[in-house]
Amino acid sequence: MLAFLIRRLIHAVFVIFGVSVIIFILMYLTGDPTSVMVPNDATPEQIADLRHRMGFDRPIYVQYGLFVEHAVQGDFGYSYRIQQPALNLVLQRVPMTLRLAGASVAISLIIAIPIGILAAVKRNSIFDRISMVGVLFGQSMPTFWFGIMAILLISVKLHWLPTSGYLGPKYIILPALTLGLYTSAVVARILRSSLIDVLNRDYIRTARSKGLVERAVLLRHALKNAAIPVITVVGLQVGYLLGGSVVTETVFSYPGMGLLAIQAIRGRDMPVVQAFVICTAVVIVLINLLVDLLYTYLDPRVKY
Amino acid sequence: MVLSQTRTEGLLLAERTARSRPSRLQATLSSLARNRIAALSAIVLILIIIAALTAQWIAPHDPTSQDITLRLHPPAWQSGGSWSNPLGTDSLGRDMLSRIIYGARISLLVGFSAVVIQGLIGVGLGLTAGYYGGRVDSIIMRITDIQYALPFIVLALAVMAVLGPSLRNVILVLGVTGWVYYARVVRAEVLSISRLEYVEAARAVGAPGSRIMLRHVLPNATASIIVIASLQVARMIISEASLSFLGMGIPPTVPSWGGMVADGRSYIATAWWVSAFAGLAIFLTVMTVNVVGDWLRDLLDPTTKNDSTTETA
Repeated sequence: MLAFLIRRLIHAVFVIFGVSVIIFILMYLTGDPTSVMVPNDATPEQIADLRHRMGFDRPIYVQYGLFVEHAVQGDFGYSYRIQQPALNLVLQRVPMTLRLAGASVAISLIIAIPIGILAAVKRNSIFDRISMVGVLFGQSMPTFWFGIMAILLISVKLHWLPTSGYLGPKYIILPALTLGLYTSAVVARILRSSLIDVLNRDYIRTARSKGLVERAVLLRHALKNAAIPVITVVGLQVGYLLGGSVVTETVFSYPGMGLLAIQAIRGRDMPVVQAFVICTAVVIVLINLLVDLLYTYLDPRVKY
Repeated sequence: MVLSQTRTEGLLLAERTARSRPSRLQATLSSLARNRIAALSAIVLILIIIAALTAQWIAPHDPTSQDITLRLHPPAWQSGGSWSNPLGTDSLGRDMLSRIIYGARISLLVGFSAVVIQGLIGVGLGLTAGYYGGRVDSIIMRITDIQYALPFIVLALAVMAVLGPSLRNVILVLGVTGWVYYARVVRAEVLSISRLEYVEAARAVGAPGSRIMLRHVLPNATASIIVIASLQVARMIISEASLSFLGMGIPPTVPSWGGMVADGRSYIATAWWVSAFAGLAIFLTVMTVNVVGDWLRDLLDPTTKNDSTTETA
């Protein structure tokens, strides 16, 4: 177990290192950022001086070395637009995005688990068919469009929930539902097929034949085993949720790191973009590590 | 992944279908006839493709011609609408129906070309990794790990921020960032296939690696590749629309569905139709691609029949 943890941690460091190379290359390709940083009336000498101070006149490998040296100290430079360290700007927004992603997972599980179970138990029933059409809709709906339509219907027409921004828990419902829509569809679909698969296994037949009521068979024997693929999928969804939060946060003007990233991308504020990409990668790697650990708990056969 | 777990049955089927080509078409058609939803989706998808191809003849108006006097006219069936703009007009008085028809071109073009690029890169790297193994394999697989840690849209946005919005850049970005699934699946296929006797035999008679891969290994992986590709088309259409919606995809001068949804967003309370119809077009296209993709999967991989366990995402 310890050996596994160490191996996974080394792997995680390697992945983050790889992400840093990608980010550095991107930053390098953007070209010299000094032009956006200096006032319009700057003299060529002033620009050259700034370039030198920022290290943009050094060879690429030296620049990468400096980049990594600063990055490991949490220094991605100052935002070009707001005179604050880029990493701080992103980190301030991380809790908001995690709250949104967490709420999305919660909402999608609340929607998907009952649907998945019922659809599997009553296989080929009307309910099963309708919910599978729902799954198809959920998987095909563009997030941003669903969000806009939800705002139109629920906020503008019905005045049930606020349209955008964040002033309290009420503001998270629509964004979380929007972001969680695809995840709900995927989880319902996986849970249904995984449960159907488990319910056909021999040990379920044994449980039934020893006279257990169906409810106990389902709750005590089937669901725990059917949950394993669901955990995998939710783990894989973390990347989707963090990526999707960029779109969802933009639709709802929700002040998370995705909205910050979009503003930074539009303003070509590369230090903030870099800090955002690294933070996203770190969060994803950590959560995937957590998911791997969860397996050992759910399925004692999994040994690392 | 289920795809690689139960390869033997899949292989048997692949061999059988490869041997009797005429009956494969028959099997496909009869399977479509049995699955009415898939058949309907295939028809709708074909209609969308035809509309995209014939846009210049069937669109009632020039999608870029502006007329401020026609600004934000509602669809024909609402009061104030007229049949000359059946789906209404946008904030610059452009005809929504024509823009949606032209938008299909962008969505399908990006969707299909991005998938071809990712397929070529992913299949190439997957074959190489699976066949040569060892260090080559671990390098390629570590690159896929790195890409897994970066949400697709985040990477695409970062690259678009550098390259700037354009049709070519969107296709390139989506093509270059989306190859990971193919590489993983093809590698797994290669690992299981290259242990089979006929590949051993080819190797024993001295066939070069490239020939073994292209002639003996790749054909047996096509079923999985087609399945991933079909589902990726749907994802790419949504990704392009998302990028364009965020203003980082297709430039606003070209009619694209994502861009139209973004345009309509500012007028959502008064002119719902601009965002609604453009989004509906994305939804409908993606849904038909998904249904056809699911159907293809059931057809090509009998181990997942009537079941939806395989997730390429």
